[in-house]
Amino acid sequence: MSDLNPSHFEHAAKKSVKEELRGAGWPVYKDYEVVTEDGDAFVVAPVSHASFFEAEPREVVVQEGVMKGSRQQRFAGRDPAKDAITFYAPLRTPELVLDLAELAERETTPQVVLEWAQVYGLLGFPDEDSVGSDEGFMKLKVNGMGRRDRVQRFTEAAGEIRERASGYSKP
Amino acid sequence: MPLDELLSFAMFLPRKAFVPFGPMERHAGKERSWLLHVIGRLIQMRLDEYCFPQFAVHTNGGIATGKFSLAWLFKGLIGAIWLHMAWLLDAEGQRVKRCKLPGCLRVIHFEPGRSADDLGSIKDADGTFRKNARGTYKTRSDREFCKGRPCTQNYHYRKKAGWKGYF
Repeated sequence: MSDLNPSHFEHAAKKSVKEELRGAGWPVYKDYEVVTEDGDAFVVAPVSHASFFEAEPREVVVQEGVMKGSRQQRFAGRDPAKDAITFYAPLRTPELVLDLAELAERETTPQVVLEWAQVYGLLGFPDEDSVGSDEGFMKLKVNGMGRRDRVQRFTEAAGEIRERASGYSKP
Repeated sequence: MPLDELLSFAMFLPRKAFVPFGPMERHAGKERSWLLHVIGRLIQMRLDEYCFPQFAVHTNGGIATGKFSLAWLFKGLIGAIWLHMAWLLDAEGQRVKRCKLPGCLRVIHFEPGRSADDLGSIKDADGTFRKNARGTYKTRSDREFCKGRPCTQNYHYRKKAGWKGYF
């Protein structure tokens, strides 16, 4: 892996796909937490009713003609993606691969995954990336938004990337 | 990479990646070729799992401009990481030259030439200049076989003997 550096990835990406076609974003959330479900540790960016609904009701002015008007108060649904403190373009971030490979060289604890998430976001395996909230009268669910990683799966994926990167050009 | 290192590397590859090719033990003498096949399949599996192409129509104020683009998108950050890996191998495949002997596939290292001064052999221990001190030549750009192994001889012997795949 010592042969590889981010410039290799940058060069390869530039050669393969135009810069403007590598702009797809990935969220990094403000809060992540470690939770345990059925003995498995997960790192989660939780959602709650508070994150879906704005705390303050939004006022909408409804005006019908000049004489008749009213003021309504309603709760507006809030895009859960607004929890993200930033969206960045992973395909323009070549250091991602080596940083993940380096992470796999030491023990991957939930804390390590949480620290990684605070920088790059979670890996977001599509079949497990689902978080919800069952507070009160309404069930909320968010899928495919990089909000939930199983620590074990993160470790396996990082190990696979490390093995591939360390075997780079050697065979 | 020596065979034992190759074996330890292969141990970490998911079983599903080498199902179509069988275990490495069945490919004695062609382990490197087997490994490259497996890596290719592994990357394909991950791209299938986490990435997808997207064909976009360019518009200006809602009106199609007649331009189109083919982009790659990912399902999860893990998909973006595998796209980087795939692009790296694609680009390196064009840049890296491997030994021409079928089954060897070792990377040919192109080393720059070094002068006697660089090598530190220009002077004797007492500081006097050596006569005919020489450096090393850079690797020839048309090199086809790896260094320090009998690949050239094997290749030409097999070619002469009419082996399949030796042109």
